[in-house]
Amino acid sequence: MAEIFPNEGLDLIYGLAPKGGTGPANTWIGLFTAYTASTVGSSAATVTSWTECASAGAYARQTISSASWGTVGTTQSGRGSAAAQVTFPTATAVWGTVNGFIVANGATVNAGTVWYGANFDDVTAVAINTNDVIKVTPTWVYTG
Amino acid sequence: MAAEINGHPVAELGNGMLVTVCASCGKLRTILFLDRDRWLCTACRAEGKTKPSLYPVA
Repeated sequence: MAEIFPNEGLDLIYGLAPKGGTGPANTWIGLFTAYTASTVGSSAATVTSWTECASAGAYARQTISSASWGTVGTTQSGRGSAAAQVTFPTATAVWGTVNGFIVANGATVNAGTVWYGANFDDVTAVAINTNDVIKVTPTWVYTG
Repeated sequence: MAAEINGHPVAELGNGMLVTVCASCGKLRTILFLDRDRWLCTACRAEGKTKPSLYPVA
């Protein structure tokens, strides 16, 4: 699987330290269909690059409460954490073939800033069809 | 929303946070699908894993 903080995600981190800014109260998780099950966007990727699922068929970004992030631990590539699992609404139409998730700065689909993107850990593309219900575990890994 | 299912397999991430794991293989995956009353990972869902019978009939 692949994961990345695109430049706009790095800007967020840079703003926190060393610039001493304030972090977001919450983040939002969405699903992307661009790239593949084992590749993600480049450093230059912006929200439209990820081809998020359309705002239809009950698809909507879901809130990740900042308080729901778990203990930071060592991963294969750096330091990482997982947040409480997020259950998306039941799909009432086909959402498409999803290759992973994004963590963004707002609830509006296909808008705002994408701070982080990653494939699912089983590196398998998943077709989200009508009546499917999925639960996603947000993860966030800083590579050293 | 059947997000929480009593008796469903879960794993603890070390800080008391419980996460649902695949009801068939027990693995923690970043995406799970709801299949009736249990959550399955993509692989087990594709293989059509069925719920174990707790009361086999001879």
